[in-house]
Amino acid sequence: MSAKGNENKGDGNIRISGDITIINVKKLHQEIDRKLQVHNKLKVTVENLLTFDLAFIQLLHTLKRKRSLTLNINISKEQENTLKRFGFHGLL
Amino acid sequence: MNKTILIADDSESIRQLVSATLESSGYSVLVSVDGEDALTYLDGSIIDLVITDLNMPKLDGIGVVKGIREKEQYKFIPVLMLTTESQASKKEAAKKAGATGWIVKPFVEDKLLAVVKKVLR
Amino acid sequence: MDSYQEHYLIEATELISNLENALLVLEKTPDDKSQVEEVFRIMHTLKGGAGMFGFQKIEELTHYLENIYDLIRDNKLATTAQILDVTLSTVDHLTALLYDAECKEEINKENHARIKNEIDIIVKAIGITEATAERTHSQKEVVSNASALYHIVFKPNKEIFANGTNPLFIVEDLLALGDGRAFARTTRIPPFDKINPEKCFVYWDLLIFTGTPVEEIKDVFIFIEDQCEIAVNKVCAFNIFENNQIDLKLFENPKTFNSYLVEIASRAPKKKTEDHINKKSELSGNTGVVASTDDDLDMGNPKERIKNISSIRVASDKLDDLMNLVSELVTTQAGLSLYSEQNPDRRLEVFSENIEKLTRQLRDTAFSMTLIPINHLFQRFKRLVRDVSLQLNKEIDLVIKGGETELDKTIIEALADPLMHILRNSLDHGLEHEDERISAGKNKTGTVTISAYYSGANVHIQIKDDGKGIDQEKIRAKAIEKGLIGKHDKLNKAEILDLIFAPGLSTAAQITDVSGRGVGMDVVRKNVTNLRGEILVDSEVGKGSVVEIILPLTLSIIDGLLVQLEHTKYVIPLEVVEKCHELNAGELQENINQLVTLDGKQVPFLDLREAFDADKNTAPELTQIIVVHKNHKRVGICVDTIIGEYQAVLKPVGKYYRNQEFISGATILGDGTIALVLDTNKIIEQSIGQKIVAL
Repeated sequence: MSAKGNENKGDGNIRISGDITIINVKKLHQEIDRKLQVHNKLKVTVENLLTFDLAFIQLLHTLKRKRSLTLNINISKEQENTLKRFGFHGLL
Repeated sequence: MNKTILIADDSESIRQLVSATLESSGYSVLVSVDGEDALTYLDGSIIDLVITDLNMPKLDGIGVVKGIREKEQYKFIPVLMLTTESQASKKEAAKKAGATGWIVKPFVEDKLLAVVKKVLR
Repeated sequence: MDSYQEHYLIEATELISNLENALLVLEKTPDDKSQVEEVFRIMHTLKGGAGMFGFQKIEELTHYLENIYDLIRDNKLATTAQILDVTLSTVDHLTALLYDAECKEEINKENHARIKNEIDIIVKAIGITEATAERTHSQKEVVSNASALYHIVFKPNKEIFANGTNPLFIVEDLLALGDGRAFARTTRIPPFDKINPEKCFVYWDLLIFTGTPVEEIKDVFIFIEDQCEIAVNKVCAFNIFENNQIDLKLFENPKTFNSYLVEIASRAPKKKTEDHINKKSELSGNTGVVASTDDDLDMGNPKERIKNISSIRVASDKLDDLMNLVSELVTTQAGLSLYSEQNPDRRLEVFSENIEKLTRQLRDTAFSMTLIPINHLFQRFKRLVRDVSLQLNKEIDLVIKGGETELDKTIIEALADPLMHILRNSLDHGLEHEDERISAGKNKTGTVTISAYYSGANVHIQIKDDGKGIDQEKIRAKAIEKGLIGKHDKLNKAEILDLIFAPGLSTAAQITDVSGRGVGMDVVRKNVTNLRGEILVDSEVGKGSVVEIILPLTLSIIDGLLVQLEHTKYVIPLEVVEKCHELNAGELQENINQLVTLDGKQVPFLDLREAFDADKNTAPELTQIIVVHKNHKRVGICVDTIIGEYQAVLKPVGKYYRNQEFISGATILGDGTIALVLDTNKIIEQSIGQKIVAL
């Protein structure tokens, strides 16, 4: 997992990539939460995702609904299809 | 990368059968001879699935599951329990301790692989 | 499967012996639940493997027994003598079944029928329902099933991740059943600030057109049926996905899903039938029961649980090969060391020293591999004691100490008979009957203690009883009667007791089934001596006897004292060497009765020069006398020079030496020459003879 961003008070950026599963989803949640306390506006970008599971999909849903951040999901066609197959139509 | 499966069983013949079957299907296999032995593998190895016998000396299968679930790194990995049909009541105890599923003995190779595929992909 | 079967055979043999021991412990402590657990556990392992590797008869018997012990475990049944007897006879029969899996041999057939009958009597008395019920359950009827569209609702519990379950796998498995679509419901997911990301909030509506019957659809949920809500409803008999007239958006929206589904289904020419199966979690209602069995399982370790060592199996001939190679290596290395000494070269010296060190480590490791715990042997005696105590109607306690002591496996195998014999003697002749013990003021239960411990390079094994002891006068009288000693010979206690090892001496007034005629103890001593060991006895009338066997750890390499006589080198096993003395050669030659006074004691001696017909003219002025001892006897051996300690790899001697009494083997020295190993036991015997000489 990696979630990187700059630390200034204004707009913040977070990039999520790699393996995001139940094992590290809690850490990721805490990291985003911490940044949300610091920044007024947060931009979260998901890219270069390797593996993910239901726990991460759930977190994506909460991020999508969160007003104070913008979420960009850049995933492969294959990953998109996987999400569709499992019935997560609303995410994309 | 190959998925790694840790086996815990005090019966050598079962260990042999299980590990040979899994290895021939491309899994990496770690072998331990009882519950205590199994838990020693948890530090320092990346394990994707644990298959443990229920009745074992030193520490039984339920103890193994509990030990696994206590480790942050392994809180969510699948654990399969080797049981026999006469141990139905133990399945509940195993589930409660955190087991994912079970494999009923006697089993054939195909059955074993099918159950593994249910919990590990 | 054949190699698995072979493994199972070895393993089962071990399990059966463990089971036997566990049962014997249980017999003594019938209320010890941890012991019942142990018996149950071993039986269970035995059964599991039997089922897998084609030993159906074993599976069948162990299955019944397991049921019985399961009841005992649950306090629904007490451990009775009847149950233990049947179990023990079953255990004997199981061994037979290992080699006659289908129970074809007549005797096994008979036993099988008899044991099954005995078990049946117990089973019927306690009313266990036939175990076959569970089996038939698993043989599901295969019903051909017409394809249909099913609506499946799958709502995992929030805690499902904690069991290592991935709900996506379940969805994947459901979709794989046929033509289907999944619609994830995300409405229960809390907002970002509230969510515990390690819990599961998503659930699914699935529509699947499949020929799989409902029961099999539910099999997908087999591991999680108590951790989720599942509903499987048959909707209609045709595949709604086949024509593109459906609006998936209406299914994606949970609010329109149900009404749209009804609409789509009603478009069909055929009417649907309903098949409602609802499953809800039943776990919560049962937690009380679950918790209690849980505690049972977590109970502390039983006291006498048999230790299992993690190990691998190696064919013993491979070990023998390894030992031979190591022996060769030790010899070759000795040659290298010698060469390096004679040809000073700094680097060669370093290499040689390293190789010497490594060889020694390799040798020790290789030897330790051939060692097995003597418990393998001791455990067998438990059964013997049990059976004999019933047969003789004596209450006997067998105490085993130091079972973990390790000895060369060939020694252990060779020890079985001698030890068995000594033990039988103790049980039969040593221990008194109950009334006799009580009138002597002793505990009515006799105790026999078998213990093993290390002492230097030797292992001591003691068999001790608290019986009536050996009557020295009786032995003395008998020995005189048999002509083993003269009427006026003065013998000390040790010497008299030692007579029990003389051929043809039996003190038992009456011959019993158990220990038979007195043909044994001389053979016992011979067997022990063949292992380069010695056997001693001590006894006190009224208090008991103890027989002690002292054995070398291993047979193939010995620490020896290298000595020389003329041009030939000899090795004397270091373990028998007591002291070395230097004497003027003249002192010995004038000796008439072959006795020499050393440290104020007279010791018989053997002049090897004389025994081996050495040239008298080459005799040195000073003779070295090496005093060796065995079984309380001491003999001095005269040689020309003492070279020093040497580690000798024992080799058998060629046929020309076979009949040579004083040589037991040969060893190759570093320079390639051969040294002969002296058989000190024979030398002692010859020098002293059966005639007891005052020491």
